[in-house]
Amino acid sequence: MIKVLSKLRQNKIFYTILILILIMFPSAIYKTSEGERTAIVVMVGLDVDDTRPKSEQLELSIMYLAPQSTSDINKSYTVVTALGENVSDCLSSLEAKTGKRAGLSHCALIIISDTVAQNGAMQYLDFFTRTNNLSTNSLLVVSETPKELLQAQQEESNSLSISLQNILDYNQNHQFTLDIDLESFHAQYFDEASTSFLPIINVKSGDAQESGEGGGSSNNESGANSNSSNANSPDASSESTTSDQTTSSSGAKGPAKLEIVNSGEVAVMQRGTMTHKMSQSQVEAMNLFSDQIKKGSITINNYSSHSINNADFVVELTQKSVSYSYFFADSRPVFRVSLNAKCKLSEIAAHYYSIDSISIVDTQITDSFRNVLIDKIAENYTNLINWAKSNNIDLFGLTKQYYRLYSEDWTNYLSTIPDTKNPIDDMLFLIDVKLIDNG
Amino acid sequence: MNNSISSKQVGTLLFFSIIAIKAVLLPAIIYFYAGTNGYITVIGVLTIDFSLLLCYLAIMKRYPNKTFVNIMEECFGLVISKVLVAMILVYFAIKTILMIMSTYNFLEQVLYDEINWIYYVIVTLAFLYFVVSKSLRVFGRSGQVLFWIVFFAITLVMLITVTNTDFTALLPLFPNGAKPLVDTGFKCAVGFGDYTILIFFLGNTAYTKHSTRHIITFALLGITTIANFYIVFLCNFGYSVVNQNLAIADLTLYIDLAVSVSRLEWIAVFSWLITMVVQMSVYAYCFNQSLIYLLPQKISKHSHLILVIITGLTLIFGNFTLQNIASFVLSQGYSIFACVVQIGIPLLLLLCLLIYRIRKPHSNPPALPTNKQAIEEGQK
Repeated sequence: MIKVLSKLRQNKIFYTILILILIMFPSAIYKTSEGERTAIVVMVGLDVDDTRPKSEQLELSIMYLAPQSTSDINKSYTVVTALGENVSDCLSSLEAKTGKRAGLSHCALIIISDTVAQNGAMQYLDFFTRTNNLSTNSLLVVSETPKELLQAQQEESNSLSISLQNILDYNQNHQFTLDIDLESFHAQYFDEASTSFLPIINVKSGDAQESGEGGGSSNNESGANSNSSNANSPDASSESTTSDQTTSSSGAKGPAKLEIVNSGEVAVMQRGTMTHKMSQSQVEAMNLFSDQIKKGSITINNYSSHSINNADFVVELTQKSVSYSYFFADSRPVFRVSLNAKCKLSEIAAHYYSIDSISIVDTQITDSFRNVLIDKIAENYTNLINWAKSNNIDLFGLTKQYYRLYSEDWTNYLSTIPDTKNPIDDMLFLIDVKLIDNG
Repeated sequence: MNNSISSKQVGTLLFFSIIAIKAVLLPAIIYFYAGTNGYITVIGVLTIDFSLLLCYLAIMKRYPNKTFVNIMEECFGLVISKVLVAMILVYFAIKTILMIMSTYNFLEQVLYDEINWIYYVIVTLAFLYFVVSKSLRVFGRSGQVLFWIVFFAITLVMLITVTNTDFTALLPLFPNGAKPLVDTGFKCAVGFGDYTILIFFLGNTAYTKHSTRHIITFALLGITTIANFYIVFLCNFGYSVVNQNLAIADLTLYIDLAVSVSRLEWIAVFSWLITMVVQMSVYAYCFNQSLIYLLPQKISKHSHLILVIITGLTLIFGNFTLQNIASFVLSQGYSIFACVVQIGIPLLLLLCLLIYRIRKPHSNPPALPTNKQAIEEGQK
């Protein structure tokens, strides 16, 4: 031991480490832990009310994690709201209110209200694109009532409930959206197409819930009570709610529970501003032509085959692959979507079924039915394109792609069209559909 | 103590030098000035740099035992040699300070909420005091050990991000002509000239028959890695690339896969920290070697203390921020100075080669030992 110590006396590394410890120790020993000083923000909601004074126009709600001694992690979530002129202002108020610094490094979701989206979301999101505090790539969602959405999410405490996370995961794989994370949204703001498509998720007041129902604890429901009441309070300028604030007597019927609703609508954001909303049917149609989505379905209404009359046929498209071609023909940009998919008859809704209609032999997709399907897909495509043209919406990011791939031709094309702000209006759109029967 | 290092160790240190400063703040700056064709600037300047590496290798191969100072004194005399080393000293002093600032910025923004600047400076200077007093072999061995960790990390980062890339972001080519790209290359000279560290490896490298191949292989690996990084970086972020001031950390945080698979970004973050610390040490070593040559012999044995004092005083009283030091190194004056050092010195070495040939036209270069012979020599 003495030998080791005497060797250490001659070791420069030992002295270096000793110096480091001596320097760092006094500066770190008295500090409280990072976790106690920081509110771990997991979601943010932004809303604007133009009728309020300027210094209180922006409403920022955060859902943060405040660890508590409970086995249910959802009970540790708290929703707090503050008003201010800008995001920094609101965050300062929230920090003063909670006594904790707002740590955004785990903020997975930013919910913007319709008003924020219509006013131009970038002015409110600028803080999040600049701050180094937000170190993750948050997703963006549009909602009519961001604060209520946070409160509804806060209420979710049993595994059977619909959570925002499930909805977002589902949307990512099954619903047409584009540039829904903050970085992509920010990047698209500056690019030529400058169009992104954000999911719209809302909240509605569900049926009254009885205590003990669905495996939820009384604490959980009491949280629902307080949340829904807060959500309905007219001057909810600044309040906080936790899931276990109050208790309610067992068996009592609580007020309406907030439910998260994925309407299937999508907000069309052009230059950071919501200009249109895509309806659920438009989004479903667009799902067919999106290269991100691998499945789809199509309904043929009032179709008659030899075995069944006037029925609605639902066909599922599996193993769908979509590719896009960009080229010029006669100095005019031509965009072609090639859709290849296997199709499978998944449902026939009719008033009367014959025995043939359930036989595997007679429910194959015939050539004539395939043609009907192709016509229906083409019709959907045409409708979508016409809608996009009339509203100047670049559904496929074409202005960006043509600028990148055919810079010179594109510039020439822009100089020939009457309305350069709506370049897709004069473009030619084609579709090529190949369907294979999947049995 | 034998101060010479193997060519593989030189190669690994060159690899660190090529990648270290280019994957944090520089990408955003280059893309800001050059637009989305910034990657062409990077590839172009890396190619020029690579051709300058060949100048160093030519003289290393011909005169493996001559140091830079030996060569300059023999060819141009003591005064010019001192002036050149003084320029190199300033060059590496600025690079050391820049690296210290970049590392602080990286730590502050990625790992901590706040770090006390004074504590950071004290700790860093203590580390530099320790490390610059070490021989070149210590750097070589450290580089060799850490190389695989860093190479694996940056390869992993690019592999996981490649799924998210939109390669059309690389187009169109030259939308505003080539001038902005050339101007950017000149303006961002501070981020290049990676082979300048070889000045202090001249005469200290166990040059064998395979050394040229080893060094070139590592250099090409570094060039390919960093060129790919710039491409992947642009294809992920598109126009918002100019907003990503911590490129490598931002890239991993941007990818859902990296974040969802239990924070893969930490691999990139920590490996990058290693890279920055290694590079900071190498720059400080070069700074120290310049001091040793310039200071009188009695004082030169305390060169590492003088280095720490100069750096410490500059950092503490200079009132620097990364922004103002970045604007200084991007200024025209500094760019000219950096180009003179980065391009002028290898060309001077080429001139020295010519001078040696004129002075002794019939002398053959010494036969290079094989790897085995070099190892045996080292053991002796």
